[in-house]
Amino acid sequence: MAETPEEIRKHIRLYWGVGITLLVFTVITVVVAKITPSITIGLLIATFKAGLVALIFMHLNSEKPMIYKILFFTAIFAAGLLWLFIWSLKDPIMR
Amino acid sequence: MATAATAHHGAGHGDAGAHSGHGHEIPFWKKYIFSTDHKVIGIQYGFTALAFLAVGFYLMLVMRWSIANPGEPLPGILAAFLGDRWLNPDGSVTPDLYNMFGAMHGTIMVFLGIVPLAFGAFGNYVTPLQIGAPDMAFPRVNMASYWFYLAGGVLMFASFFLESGAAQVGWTNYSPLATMAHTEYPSIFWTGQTQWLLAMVFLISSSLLGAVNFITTIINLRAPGMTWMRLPFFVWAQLVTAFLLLLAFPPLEVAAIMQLMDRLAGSSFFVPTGTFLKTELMDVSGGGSPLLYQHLFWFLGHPEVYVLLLPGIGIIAEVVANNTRKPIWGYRAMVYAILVLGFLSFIVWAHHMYLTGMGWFISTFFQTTTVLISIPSVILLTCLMISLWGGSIRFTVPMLWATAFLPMFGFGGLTGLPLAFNLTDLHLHDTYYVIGHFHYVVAPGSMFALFAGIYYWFPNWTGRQMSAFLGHLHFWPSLVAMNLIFLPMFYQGMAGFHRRWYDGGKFFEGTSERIFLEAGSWMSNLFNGGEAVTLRDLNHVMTFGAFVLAVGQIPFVLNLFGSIIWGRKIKDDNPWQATTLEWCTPTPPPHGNFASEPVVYRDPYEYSVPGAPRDFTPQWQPDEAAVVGEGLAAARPSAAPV
Amino acid sequence: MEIPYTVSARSDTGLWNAKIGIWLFLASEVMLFGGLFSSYIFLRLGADYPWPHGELNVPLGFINTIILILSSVFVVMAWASLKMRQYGNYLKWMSAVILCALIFLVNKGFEYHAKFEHKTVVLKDRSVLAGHLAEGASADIRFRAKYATVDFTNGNHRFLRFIENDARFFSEKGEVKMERAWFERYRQANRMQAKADYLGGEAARLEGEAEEAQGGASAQELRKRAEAFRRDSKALADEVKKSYPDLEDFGGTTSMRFELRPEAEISVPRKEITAWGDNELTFKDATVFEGLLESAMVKLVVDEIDLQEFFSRSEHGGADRDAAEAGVFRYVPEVQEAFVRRREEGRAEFESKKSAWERKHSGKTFPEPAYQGYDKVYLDKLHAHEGGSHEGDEKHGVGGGADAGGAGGGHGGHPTVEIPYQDIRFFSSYTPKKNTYYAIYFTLTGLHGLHVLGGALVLSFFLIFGKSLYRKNPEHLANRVEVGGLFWHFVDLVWIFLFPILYLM
Repeated sequence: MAETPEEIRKHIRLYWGVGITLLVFTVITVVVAKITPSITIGLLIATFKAGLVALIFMHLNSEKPMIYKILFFTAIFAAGLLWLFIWSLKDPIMR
Repeated sequence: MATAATAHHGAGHGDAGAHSGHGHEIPFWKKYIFSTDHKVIGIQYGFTALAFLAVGFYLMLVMRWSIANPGEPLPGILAAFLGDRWLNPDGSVTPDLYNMFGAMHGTIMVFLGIVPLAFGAFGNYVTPLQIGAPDMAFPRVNMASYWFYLAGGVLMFASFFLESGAAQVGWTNYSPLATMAHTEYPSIFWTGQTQWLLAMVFLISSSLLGAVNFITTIINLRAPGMTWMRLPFFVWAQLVTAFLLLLAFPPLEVAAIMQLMDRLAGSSFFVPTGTFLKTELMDVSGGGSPLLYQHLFWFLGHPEVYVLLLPGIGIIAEVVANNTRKPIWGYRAMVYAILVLGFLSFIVWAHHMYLTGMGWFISTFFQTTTVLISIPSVILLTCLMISLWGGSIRFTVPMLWATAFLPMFGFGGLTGLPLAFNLTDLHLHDTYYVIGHFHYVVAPGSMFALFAGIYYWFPNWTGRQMSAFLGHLHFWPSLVAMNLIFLPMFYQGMAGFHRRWYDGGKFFEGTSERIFLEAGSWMSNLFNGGEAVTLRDLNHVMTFGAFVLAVGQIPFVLNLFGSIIWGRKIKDDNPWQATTLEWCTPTPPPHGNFASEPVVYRDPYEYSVPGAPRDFTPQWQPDEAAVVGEGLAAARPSAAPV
Repeated sequence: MEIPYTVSARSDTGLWNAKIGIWLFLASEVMLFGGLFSSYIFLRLGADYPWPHGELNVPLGFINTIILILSSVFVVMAWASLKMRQYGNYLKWMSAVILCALIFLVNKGFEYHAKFEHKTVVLKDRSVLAGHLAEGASADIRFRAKYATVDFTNGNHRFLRFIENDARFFSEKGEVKMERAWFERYRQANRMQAKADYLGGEAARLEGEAEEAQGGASAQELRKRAEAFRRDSKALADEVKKSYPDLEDFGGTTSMRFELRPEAEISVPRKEITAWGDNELTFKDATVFEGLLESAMVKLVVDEIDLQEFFSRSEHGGADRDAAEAGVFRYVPEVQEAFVRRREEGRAEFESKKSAWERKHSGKTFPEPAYQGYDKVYLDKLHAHEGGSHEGDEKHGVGGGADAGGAGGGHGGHPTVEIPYQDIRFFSSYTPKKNTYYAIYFTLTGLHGLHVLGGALVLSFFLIFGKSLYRKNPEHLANRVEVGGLFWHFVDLVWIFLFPILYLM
């Protein structure tokens, strides 16, 4: 990711493009919420937007392996936290 | 050096020169109080943590005494600190005081005592030295971490002096009890229960800053040639510990913030619908879940157990390798084991919650992971045990602690197995069995390891040795007393003694008057004049042990402070003839640690290498071949332009 | 030795220190917000009340989303300008970022303020009225007290903070300064007296034992000990008398009745009170005031009726309860008829939609469980609905009567009602107290707001004090801005999830 000024100049269009995409999808998510209360669609759009921010703005598309390793384990533990919480809620000893 | 000496006109000649090795004057407050030097911060952490350990110890003595002698006036030496605010008119301990001390003993020992000592003090002092770094990666963040810790500690301690007293609902601070407690006081904010949460927010922030710093340092500041598999095991332990703190603490911060909201903003995160306070329906909306708090708490709580333990194992590995004069047996296995241990510790937390009524599926999951995690623990212990085999062991004082650590920790670990299974845990949950189990891990376990560390690295810090005689005087009573305190707990626990009985079982004659030693048996002849000993009588044994332990710490305090001034000076910078990098610095290490950038040529524990001139080959000692060859050039990472 | 790799990257990891540091910090932030999101899901799935939908200000949330996304772009631009060594552009972009942060926080302030002002009243039968307090009205219980009986057992003086004038406390002996110090003294004296009593009791016990022993050495010994106790007891009792002469009469009593001069004006939130009558007010700490109750009610300008909970509590008959009997209509009878009819219509519409769908997809059940859309209505909407579907028809009671200003109602459609606390189960603003949804909403957005504030402060620091570092080592400043930017993007990323889960879903 150690970019030269020339490379960065090339990237600037990309950054604006991503910014506009994010704005468009913000509008879409509001419109979709008016039509259907679907949680899945809302979360999918949010995940897509978050992915753009993380990959392009935060340069995760070209990061060093050490950072990926750290984030990989963080993601696993965060997912574990989430799923085990819900799981324990959905599986009480009595219903 | 020259400028320093002239400025001082030779006062405190040798020492001053060694401290300000790089020439210019640093004012006292900057050098020792608001210092950014990792060694000074480590020592600040160390002494603060030892002070808090003493406070926690005192709380324990009061509780232990009142368990053995319910309803009797507290002896003057213990009551001296209390005034009569928290004592009954007859001078005995009130239930409120007992609850308060129970909660604060746990909190102080875990969050203000052992973690700061193991992670803050030893981690700060030793880790950069062992990897050959000049300091931590972010020295000012490091300083902030200490001051956050101190602020949290002072806040926690100050809550004793509030009108409400300190927190009373156990170190786990379970809601909804914790939400309701102390709400009758004029200001809910200025109650022990609220201040506990605020202090925890400070302590958590401190740990997070520390963890970020440690990991960055270990990743990026290793000396040339210090590859991952050449790291001393202590550094591995610190690395895993730092990850546990980094990723497990935030959920507790969430829990603390949410409980603060519950107490101060009237929300009901952890308060279910229809909760009564005394006789009245609480003025909250309800709809919350106490179970949520337990999940958030134990998501930290279980990794925290390993935070208490792993630095200790790291210290033991260093001490064992040094004193057996042979490499650690199975270094790689231990590294992988500790990594797996760290990973698994995140997904076992609900074994603390078997009694909350979880279904068979989720409970099976947590039982399985819990049993799995015993495998890496056993690998660690076994490797350390086998390391002893065939070594020419030097029984120095640190080694005494280390050898005692191994069986004591084993004892704590094995007694944990029955708690891993739902079926047996239902019986043992919240009994003294649990107390005995985790105290064996933490008290004669971690604490012994930390003592070993203090005796081991003391020469590096001061240039003097601690007295071996006082060391023995400290070790043997401690070993005996620890077992006197914690061994009877297993018997009591299995008989059903609840861990929060404040009268020591006096009013529970069905269980507590059961016979432990028959009248006339040889044991009772020996210890009790031939009379039968009931389970409740064991309280006296444990309390006796606690006081022996207290007395046993006196030689340590004398030794620690006395040796700074009168200790025998070491003749060599490497008094233990060790192989790791912290012993290649000048003693004591100056600011910036190393005279020149150290280079690492070999594995951490090259003791008794066949054909070598001495029985230890330090990591920094060049290999004849490597110096001329290309190996070194390849090992040295040069600063690449971005 | 200096600390290496502060600016340039280490060759084997390819990273400089602060880059690792910020990613580790972000990892812990992921766990922090992960914990909060998990809690959100846990609370939502476990909620025993209808989870609120669409109660937040979506346009404001939408604007804030746009602002944060733009600021994210700007911060990248600021960093890119530095990398290209265009300091002037860096200043422009970074100022824009700070501006965005400020706008975001101001918007948040407006949003919070609106929620703090909005009130909800849950009646005993769990039907809900929402609205605003009437102009100048307070929800506190107001009481004018002539006498006070203060309980000393717990030493609590919380009640003092609710007395609004400078009422003074008089016992038979004269004035007592009611303040914390007095309670402390009193408690101390009481404790000493209790100890003296205890010692006296011990002495009596030992004397009794001595009697039984009937002479001999042991009896003598017992008497000696009893005497010692007696002495200690008396010494302590004397000390109490000496040190606390003014408290002499109170020693040992647990409560005391005072006269208040002038009469105390008490204004206290309902939650501090356990019981009240026309002439009596009892605080949680057992302090009892006697006098005259002035007001114990909430004066509300109603803008919303919510019967969702009314219908969802199965112990009361659940959805089959008769809507017309809901308690709210005692206060707003004029909308009862319209509400009930609209609800019937809505349910009928839902049923027909359901059966049509189920005919079409034979064998499957309609995905939406039960229709609750008309259980909660804004009075504005009710008016509009009435105006719309019954255009030209005679107006059916809605806002009927003199104060209705026609369809749509205007302010006249928001009746002002007085609800006595006897009828209220629960009263709250739209604050964390209202329910777990608002609790998690305020916690999540509040923490996120703090992150915005913190990030803005750090970026402002780079903006204002960056010049000297830029002159010395522009790459170092670029690195710092990159690190600050990473944090800023993360804050944006969190909001990208917060907006739909709190505002839309």
